[in-house]
Amino acid sequence: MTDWMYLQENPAEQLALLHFFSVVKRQPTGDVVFRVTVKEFAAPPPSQRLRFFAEADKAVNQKTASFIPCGWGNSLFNALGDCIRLIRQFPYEGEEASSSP
Amino acid sequence: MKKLRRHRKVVSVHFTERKFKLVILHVTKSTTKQGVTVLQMKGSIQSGPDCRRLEQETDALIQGKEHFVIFDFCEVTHIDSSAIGSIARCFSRLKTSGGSLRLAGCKGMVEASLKLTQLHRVLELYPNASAAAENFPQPH
Repeated sequence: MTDWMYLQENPAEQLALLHFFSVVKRQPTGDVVFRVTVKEFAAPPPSQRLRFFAEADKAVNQKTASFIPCGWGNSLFNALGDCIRLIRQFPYEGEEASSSP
Repeated sequence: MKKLRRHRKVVSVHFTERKFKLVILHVTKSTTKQGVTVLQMKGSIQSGPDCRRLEQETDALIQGKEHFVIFDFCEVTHIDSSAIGSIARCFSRLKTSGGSLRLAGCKGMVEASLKLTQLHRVLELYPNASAAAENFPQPH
């Protein structure tokens, strides 16, 4: 257990270490940069049982069922992997497409 | 005897793995008096066979001209991010075929996951299947 985790007094505080990642989604309309934030909680938040939660900064699949790619797991690898898989699987159909990362 | 003991060991390891595996998804199909199809699910929806099953069931409904569907999650305890993707895919396919999808009975971790991904903004959530069936666009 890393020392920062001992600073949490109560799981309701949801103290977390943030990990930032960036990934480029390549699609015919142009490249889109997704930033993914992974929260490494000191302890699973209330009503959760997993310590890692990854969330992208923008939605995908906007034309039919828009949603924010997310992933959760018991390791950073699992949470980030699930989130990136959803980014790959669904098209980005918003207006923020840009050509450079 | 030695062989038998070795066999027993393998069986017990298998049992231990099964013991810790989450409950497999069970799907029951029914139709409301309004003519809406309800897929009642029980267990957990995880990446792999569960998600494939969900999408296959939806594809079968579309092929059978059943385009107005309710997923009843009242007995679903856990979903992962792949399940979120599968639900979005099912909704997209039903919408493209001229139908619609509503979710019923989402609670706890399932409801929290749908809200985290903001899928609840697109998919309407209802407390139970009968509430979801009310005012559903009339099946043709």
